[in-house]
Amino acid sequence: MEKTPFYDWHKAHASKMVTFAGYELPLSYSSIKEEHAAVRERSGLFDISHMACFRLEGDKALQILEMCTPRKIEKRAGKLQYNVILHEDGGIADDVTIFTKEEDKFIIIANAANRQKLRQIFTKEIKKNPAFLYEMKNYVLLALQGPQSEEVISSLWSVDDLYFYEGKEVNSCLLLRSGYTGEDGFEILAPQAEGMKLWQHFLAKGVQPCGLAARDLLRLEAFYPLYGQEISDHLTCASCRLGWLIDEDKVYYGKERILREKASPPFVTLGFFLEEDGIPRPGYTVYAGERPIGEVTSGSYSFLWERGFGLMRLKEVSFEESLFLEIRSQRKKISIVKKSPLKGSIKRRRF
Amino acid sequence: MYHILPELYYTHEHEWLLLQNGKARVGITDYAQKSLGDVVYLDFTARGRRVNQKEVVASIESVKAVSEIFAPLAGTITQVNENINRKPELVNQDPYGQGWLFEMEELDLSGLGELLDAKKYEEFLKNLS
Repeated sequence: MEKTPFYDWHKAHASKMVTFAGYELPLSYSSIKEEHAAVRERSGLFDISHMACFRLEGDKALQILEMCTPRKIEKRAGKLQYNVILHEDGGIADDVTIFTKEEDKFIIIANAANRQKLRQIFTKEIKKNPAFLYEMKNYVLLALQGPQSEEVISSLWSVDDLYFYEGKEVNSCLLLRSGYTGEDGFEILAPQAEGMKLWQHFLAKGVQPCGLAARDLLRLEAFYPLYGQEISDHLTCASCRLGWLIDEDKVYYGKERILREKASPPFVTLGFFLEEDGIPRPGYTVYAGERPIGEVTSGSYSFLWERGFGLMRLKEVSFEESLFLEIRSQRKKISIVKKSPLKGSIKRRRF
Repeated sequence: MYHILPELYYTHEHEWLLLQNGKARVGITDYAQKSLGDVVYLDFTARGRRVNQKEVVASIESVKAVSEIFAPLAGTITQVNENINRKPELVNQDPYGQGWLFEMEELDLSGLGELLDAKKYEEFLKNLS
C-alpha cells in the first residue's frame, strides 16, 4: 500500500481511511457534511499527493502533447489547462491538467490510478520524438478550495495577478489557481518539507481538512466528470461531457473517430435530479418508460440542494418521456439537468 | 473508540435492540453510524409488517454507502421513527437515543440467543480491527 507524506497525520485525525488507487487515504475527518460546507462556504484543504505529476521537457515536448490531446495546448507560459491524454484509438487514457512553464516545459498532473498508463504512453512518444520525461517524486500536492481560499493564501503569497487556470512559481513551489470542486481555490505542488509546513500553516488559519468523500461530492455537484466513472479508456470526449475539448483543426490520435462521435455521440452524459426520496448510486439503470436507456455513472446526495442527484450515461436522450431509476425495485422519477446549478466562487480572467 | 450502552442487545450487523415491556426499539450502533458517515436517507420497506429474524426491513443511506437494516428478532414492526427522514443526522448525532429507527411488538424471544450483550459486542468490535 502506498502512502503520502501526510499518512501519519491522516491516520491520527481521519475518522476513516480507505484504499484509493493503491493509496491509503482519508475518506473523511469530521463528517462529509461539515467538510462539504467548509469548501462551499469557507475553505477546505485536501492532500492530493497521490496524484501523478510528470514533467515533459524539450523542443519536441509540445509536439508530443499536441499529438496526445484533442485540445490545442496552451503555449503561453503561466497558463494551466484541462485536457485529456488520448489512446491511439481516441479513447481517453486520463483527464489531466497541463501547466505551461515555458513553451518547451510542461507539468502534467494526472490521476493516481493512471500513473503507469501515462508513463507508458509518454515513454512510447519520446522514442519517436526525443524529450525528457521526469516523474516528480518527493513532492506533495495540496488543494486549498473554497471562497475564502484567496484570503488564506494571501497570508503567504500575493495572488492578485493570478486567475483561475493560471499558475506561477513561488520559492520552490508551483502555485496553481485551480481545483475540481466548482469553487475558487489553489493547488500547490511543493517539495515535501515545504508542503508539510504549508499544511500546518493552512490548518492554523482555520482551514478544514477534507477527505476523499467530500472531494467526490463537491466535484459531482459541479457536474465534473471523473475518470473511472464518467470517463473511461473506451469512450471518447464526445460521450463524457468533454466535447468542448475537441479541436477540429489540429492533428491528434483518434481524430477521425473523435470527430465522428462528436457529430453523432454513441452516449450522452447528463446531470439529473432525483424527483423523489432516495439516493442514486452508480450502476442503477435509467428507464424511459419501460425502455432501459442508460445507467447512473455517479450518484450521491447533495447537501446543497437537499436531494439525490448525479450524472448518467445514456444511449439515447429522451426529453419528451419521463425518465426513471429503479431503486430497490421501486421506480423513482428523475429530471435531466443539463448544467449544474452550482454558482461557485471561481474567478476567471476576463479578456 | 466506539460508544456502547450496557443495557442493550446487539447484532453482528451492528444494530442495537432495547427490550422493554414486550416491545423492542431498534437502531444502529455508534460503530455503524461512524462507518456509514453522514446518514441522509432511510428507506423503510417493511412498515407495519410481520417479519422474520434477520429479514431486511429497511435500507439506510449515507453519502457514500447504502446498508441494509435487518430485523434483530421476528415480530411485527409497529412504528417507524418518522423524524429520521426529516433530520437524518439524528442517526449520527444520537444513534442510541433520538436516532432510533423502528419499534417492534409480538416478538419471538426465542431468537434472543443469537444476539450479543454489550460485553460480547465490545469483543466483537475489537476483533474487527
